[in-house]
Formats: sequence, C-alpha cells, structure tokens
Amino acid sequence: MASEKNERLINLTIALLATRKHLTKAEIFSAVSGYDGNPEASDRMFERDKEELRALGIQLDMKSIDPLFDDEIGYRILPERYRFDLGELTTEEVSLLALASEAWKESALADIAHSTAIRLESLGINSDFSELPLIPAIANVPENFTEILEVTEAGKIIEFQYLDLEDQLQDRRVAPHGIYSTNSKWYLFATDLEKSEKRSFRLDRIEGSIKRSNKSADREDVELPTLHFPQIEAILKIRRDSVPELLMQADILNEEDDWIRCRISFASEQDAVTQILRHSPNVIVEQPIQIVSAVTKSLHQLVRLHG
Amino acid sequence: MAKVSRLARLIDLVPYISQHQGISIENLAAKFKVSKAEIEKDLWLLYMCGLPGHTPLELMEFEFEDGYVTVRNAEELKSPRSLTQTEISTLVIGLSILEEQGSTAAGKLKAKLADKLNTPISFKPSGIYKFLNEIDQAIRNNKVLKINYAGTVREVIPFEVYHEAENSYLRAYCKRAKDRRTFKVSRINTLEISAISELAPNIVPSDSHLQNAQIKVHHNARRVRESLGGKEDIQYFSTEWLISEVMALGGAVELLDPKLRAEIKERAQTSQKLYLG
Repeated sequence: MASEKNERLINLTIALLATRKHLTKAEIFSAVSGYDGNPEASDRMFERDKEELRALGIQLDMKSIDPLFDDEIGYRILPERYRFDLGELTTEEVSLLALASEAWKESALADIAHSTAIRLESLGINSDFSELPLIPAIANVPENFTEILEVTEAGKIIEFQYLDLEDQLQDRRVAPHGIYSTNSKWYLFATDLEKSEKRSFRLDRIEGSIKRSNKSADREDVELPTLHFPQIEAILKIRRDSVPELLMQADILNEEDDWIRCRISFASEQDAVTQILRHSPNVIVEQPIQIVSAVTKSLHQLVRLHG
Repeated sequence: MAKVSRLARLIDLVPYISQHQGISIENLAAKFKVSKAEIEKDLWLLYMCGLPGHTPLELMEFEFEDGYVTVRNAEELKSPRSLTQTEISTLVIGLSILEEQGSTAAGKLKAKLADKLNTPISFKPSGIYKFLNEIDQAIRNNKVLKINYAGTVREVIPFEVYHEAENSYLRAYCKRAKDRRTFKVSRINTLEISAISELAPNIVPSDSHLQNAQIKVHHNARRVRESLGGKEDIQYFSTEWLISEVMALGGAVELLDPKLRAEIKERAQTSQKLYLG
C-alpha cells in the first residue's frame, strides 16, 4: 500500500513536471495511475498528495484554466522552481555548503542535513575539501527545534506552555517572527499577543507540544535582536592575577597595588551583576551606581541566607 | 529526530544515480544510509515509474541486475529537487560558523541563501560547542593539545569533556602544571592538535568525582534550575564551580551543607568589606 502511494506520487511528480500546460484534476486522475475509486476519494487522495510533496519542498503551481470560470483549476510543477537552483556555484561554494550541512551530523537534524548533502552531490559540480577548515558539530539543539522552525515558517499564530521566572508553566499565544541563537541558546522571536509586545522565548523553556492555529500571523520584516544586544559599560577593579577571562575583554584604565581598574561592556545589567558576583571578592564594581547597588544588595542576601 | 521520508529518498535517488552512473548497490546503500535490500526495493519501485502511458518508451530505464546501477530516460527527475525552508535554515546556520571561522566566501553564500528564507534565522556561534570535535579526536588518538587558555599557552593531554549546567569542561593533564586540571571549554581561545601522541602519567586526580549537594530555592526558580541543574538535590564536580555559581545567583538560592555555607558567607562578607572600605 505504502509503495503504491509512493509510486503514485512519483508518477504524479513526473507528469506535472513534464506537462507544458496546466492539467485539470480530471486529466491528472486519468493520466496518473493510482487515483482509483470515486471522484471524492480521488480528490481527498490528491489533497494529501499535494501536502506530501509540499513537505519535500515541491510546490504545485495553480492556475485557473477557463477564463470565464474560476473553479476549474489546473496544476503543474514549474521545472525552474522544482530544481535545486542557487545560481552558478563554484567548486568552493559547493564544498562550503556540504561542510555547512556536516555541522549538523550529530544533531536532531542529521537526517535532513544528510539529504541536503546528497542533493549537493547530485548537482554534478565537484567539491574539494582539501582547502577547507574542519567544522565543529552543532550541539545542544533543543528537541523542539525542527518543530519551532516549521511553525515559524508556516507563519501561523501558535500557542504553547512556557516556564516563567519561578519555573511555573504559563500559557502563551504568539505570532512567530524568527529564530536566533546566541550564547548557544536558541530563541524564538515572536509577538506575545496577550502583552502586544515582541519577546524572545528560549526554546528549552517551551514545554510540551505546540498548538498551531489556523490564523495567520502578520508577516513583518523584523530584525532579530541577537546582533543588537543592549550593552552596558561598567568600571571594575579586578584583583591582579585573579580573573583572566574578565581581564581579557577589559580596557585597562590604571593599576594600583593589587588591583587593576578597567572598563568592561556587558550584555545587560543582569549579566554584569552575575559576572561580578561570580568573581567576588576578586572583583569590585565602582560604576554605574545601579550595578553597585544590585551587587551589594545581593551580597547582603547571600550573607543573610548563609549566616 | 526529524526523519526524511522514503518518498524523498526515492526522488533523490534518480539525480544521484544520474550523476554517478554505474555506482554499485553497496555504495548507493551506504550513501543513503539504508540496507542493500532497501535500495533494491527502491530501484524496483522506480523501475515502474515514468510518464503517463507507461509503455517502455515512457518509463525510466534502470539497470541494476549486475549490482551496478545506471539510469536513462529520467529527464524530469534528473535535477535534484530544491531545498526546503528547513534545509536552507540549516545551511545558513552552518555557513555562519564557517563565516565566523574567517571564510568570506561562506559569508557571501550565507547572505544569498538567507534571502530565500520566509522567516529570518540567525546564529551566533558560541564557545560552548567549539573545539569539541578536535578534542574528541585528540582523546581518541592520545594526542597532545596545545591550547591558549585565558591568555596562557599550555600543552595538555586530554581525558574527557563533561558538561555541567550550561558549560563544557575539558579534563586533562596539564604538562605545565604537571597535574590534572579542568578547563572551561569556552575560555579556550585557540586549540591545536599536535603531532605528538602521549599518555598522561598515572597520578590520582584531585577533584574529579561527582559530589552531591542540597539546595533551597528562594526565588528565580527557573534560573537556579538552569544554572545548577536541579531544584533540591544537585550534582557537581568542582566545589569552586558550585561556590561561584551560588555567588552568581546572588541570594536566589541557599546551600544547605555547613562547610559550603561557611565558604559562601566568608566570600560574601569579604566582598562587602571591600565596598565599605
């Protein structure tokens, strides 16, 4: 049964690729074997077949055939849209693409990347890896990555449960815009429809399955927040020979006895406070005042809890 | 794991064979990561497919009886099918890594592909997974690694990589310190596999067994769980790591072990004095 279906789908693909004119459903059903039974059953079969092909990236071009009536639709697959076409590719570019798919070989998307790689090898362009660097494997891809990617591409409003600050599940309803990764964490960038605000949702904080609605999300040209991290500068004193990884990113201002005074940019106020506390008492923050007060407040808490 | 359907494999076989006429069934099976029997079933199915009419003139012509596969008369399916949105996304991300490693050609290609995406995706390579391949390779071949770690160059003999909370650590014998050391992978700036194979001297490691601790969460439960890996009982390798993470959480969590509590109190009080002085 399954192989009959696959046979039908391949014959359908070949027929729709070969035809110069759009074919009506009736023409398709008579030309492609496998559409047996009554017209409704064939219709349903054809709808499912269209979906299966779409999942493989094969789009059916639809056109109204009769200029007077809209309801007679013709179908074909445009060869130029079917073909793997990234324009002229050099040997180096094909190799880079193959390498880019290699990066996924340890991840949940290994099979998809492998299928991409096979098609790259079917282009008839040689690849040459001798000049290329090794690519590190992409690790820590959350399990729901593919699903989130798909729903984002589908452009529909989605619902899911999200772990809040206190690790409690909350319902969220969002219009997805894009996906980004920074600091090895993956985020969905979306408009939270309850709050009417753009928010980032960490993929590993989304619990359970994603509910897709039929409502389309407005396609907006959004810029992902990753490259525009809010930066905050702080003046720190770091004890000599103590925290090389902080000192490495610092602009050194002056040195006094055991301490080095320097300026460092942090991704956010929270990030600054965290890093300063982590290295206390080898680090003291002098400015800005809101970070000083957040740090001293936290130190007070730490003493109170552990006293 | 996102699976690729049999239909995808069937469709992709045609262009692959067209470009590799005469390939053996064994090689084809290895390439598509399925059994020989599976590939033979695929070929028999494809053998029956072709243009409407299905006379010998319209069918694709496959030959594979002798164990080597050729295809003719497969004009329609000869070109590989186009990339799906998900596939383009994976390539864009892979190319971002290559761009970060200094390939401008990868950067240009990435921009071209990103144009074809309906939804934007961006990936900023980070330190966590970097070098893991190389370290793995060095461990398997007993190779010495030359690393620039937080500014100093060391030669180390790697034992293993482990992940604690959000970070990866390399446990290795440091030839400079003549002792076992643990290195945070994200702090390694450069790494080189040297040609030398060497085994570490057999000494007892100082801090390499898993320990348990009890904690009490006061607020920011999510952050505590994500950074310590639990909400009541947690496991850790290095006491220094645990103390500094609890310091970093700044009062959201409390350690219950008396010795660890004393250490936190000591560090926090010493720090407080620095702000008063």
